[in-house]
Amino acid sequence: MGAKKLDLLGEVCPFSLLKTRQELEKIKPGEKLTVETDFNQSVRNILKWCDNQGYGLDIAEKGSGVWQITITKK
Amino acid sequence: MKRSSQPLPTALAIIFIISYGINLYVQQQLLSALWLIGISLGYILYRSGICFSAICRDPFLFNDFSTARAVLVLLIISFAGTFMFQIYSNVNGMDIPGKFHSWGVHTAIGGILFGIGMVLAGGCAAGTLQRIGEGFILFLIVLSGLVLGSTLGAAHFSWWTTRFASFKPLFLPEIFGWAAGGILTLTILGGLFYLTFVLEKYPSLQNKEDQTWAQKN
Amino acid sequence: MIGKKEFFYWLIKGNWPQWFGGILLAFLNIILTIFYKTWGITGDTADWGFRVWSFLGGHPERWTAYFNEVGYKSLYKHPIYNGDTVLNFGLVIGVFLAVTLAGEFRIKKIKSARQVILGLIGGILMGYGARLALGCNVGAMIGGISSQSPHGWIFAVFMIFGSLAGSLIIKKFFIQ
Repeated sequence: MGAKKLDLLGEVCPFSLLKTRQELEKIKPGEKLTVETDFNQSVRNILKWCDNQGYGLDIAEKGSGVWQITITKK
Repeated sequence: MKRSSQPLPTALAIIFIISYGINLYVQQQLLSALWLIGISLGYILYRSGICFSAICRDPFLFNDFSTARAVLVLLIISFAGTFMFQIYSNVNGMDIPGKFHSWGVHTAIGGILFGIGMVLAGGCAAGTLQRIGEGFILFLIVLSGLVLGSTLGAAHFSWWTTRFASFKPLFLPEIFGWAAGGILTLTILGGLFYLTFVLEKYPSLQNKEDQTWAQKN
Repeated sequence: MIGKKEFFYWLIKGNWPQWFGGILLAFLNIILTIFYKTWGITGDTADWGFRVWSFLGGHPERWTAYFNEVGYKSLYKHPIYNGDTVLNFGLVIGVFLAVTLAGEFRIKKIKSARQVILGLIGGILMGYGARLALGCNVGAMIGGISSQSPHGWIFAVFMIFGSLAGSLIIKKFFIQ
C-alpha cells in the first residue's frame, strides 16, 4: 500500500488545496494520498474540502508546525 | 496526540510582550492598551483561522463559504456596535465616529486591484502580517510590495480623483434617515448571509468532481 | 462540563470555529472604534513608505489630494510610538505568541520563484488598490460597512470582482 506523497511545505492557500485536488484527480478511488503541509490554514482548508467530498481522512502532527494528512479517495 | 508548546520561543514572546508593553506604557498609556488589543487580534486571527482573502476566493475556487459567513457575522456585530455608538455620539452632540472617506471610481478600481492582489499574494493586509508572525519568509516580500504599492497609490491618488468621479464622504443615514439606514444595512448583511447558503448549492467555477458531488446530494 | 485543563488546551491548541473568531474580532473592532479609531492596517504601511520616500529625498507632503483625505498628522507621527504601528506590530507578535504556544512555529522558506513573483505583484497591487480606495479589506470593508459609509460597500463589491479575476488567473496559469 504505497501512498502517493505530496510535499506542500512552504506553500500557502489556495495553492495547497489546488495541488491536493489536482493530485487526487490522478489517483483511483480507494488509493491513498499523503499530504505534508506547514500552514495551519491549509490544513483546515484541505480537511474541510475532503470532508465535503466524503473522503477518508487521517491527520497527524509530525513535528512542530508540520502536519501530515492522509486522504483516502472514495 | 498532545504536543507540548515550544517553551523557549514562547518564553521569549511573553518576555518581549511584557517588556515592550511596559516601554509603551511609559511612553503613552493608550499605546500599551493598543499593544494588548493588537496581540489579541493576532491571537484570534491565528486560532480561529479567519483569512480575509478567503472571503470570496474560497467560494469561487472550492465552493467553501465558511469564511464568508464568519466575516458576515463579524460585519453584523461590528455594525450593530458601531451604530449604537454613533447614535450615542449623535445624541450627546459629538462628531459621528467611524470610517468615512471619499468614494467614487477610485474606490471601485482600488477594490478590484486589491481583490486581485490578495488572491495572487495569498493573503490580505492583515493576512500578510499574520503570516509574517507564523514564520513565512515569503510574506516579508509581500509586505515590501505592499509598502511600495501603498506609496505609489498615495502618489497617484490625485490623478485618479481628479480624472474620474469622486464624491465627498457620506454617512448613509444622512440620506435615508437613521432608522431606515440602519435597517437597510442590516437587511443587506442578513440577505448576504442567507445568500451564502443558496449559492453553496450551485458550484460555478468548480471542478467536475465537485459538481457531480453536488448533484448527488 | 469541561475542566480547567481542557479549557486551557482549547485556548492554546484548539481550532476555534471561524464564526467565534468573527464575534471576538467584531468586539475588538467596536472597542477600537470607541476608544481609538476604527481598525485599519494599510494606512500605516503607507506611512512607512512615505518615511522611506522622504529619506530618499522625495516629497510625499506634496501629494495634497491624498493627505487632505487622511490628514497630514500621519506624516509627522512618531515612527514607532504611534497607535497604528503598535497595533500592526502587536498583531504580528500576537500571532507569534499563538503559534509558539501551540508549538507550531517553523520558519517557512520560500519554495519557488512563482511564489516570489506572485507575492511581489500581489503585494504591490494590494497596496496600490488599498490607497486608491482608502483602506484595505479591514479598514475599508469592515470599517466602512460597519460605520455605514458608501466607500465600504463599493470597495467590498469590487473586491469580489477582483477576487474572481484573481482566482481565474490562478486557475488558468498556475495550475495546469
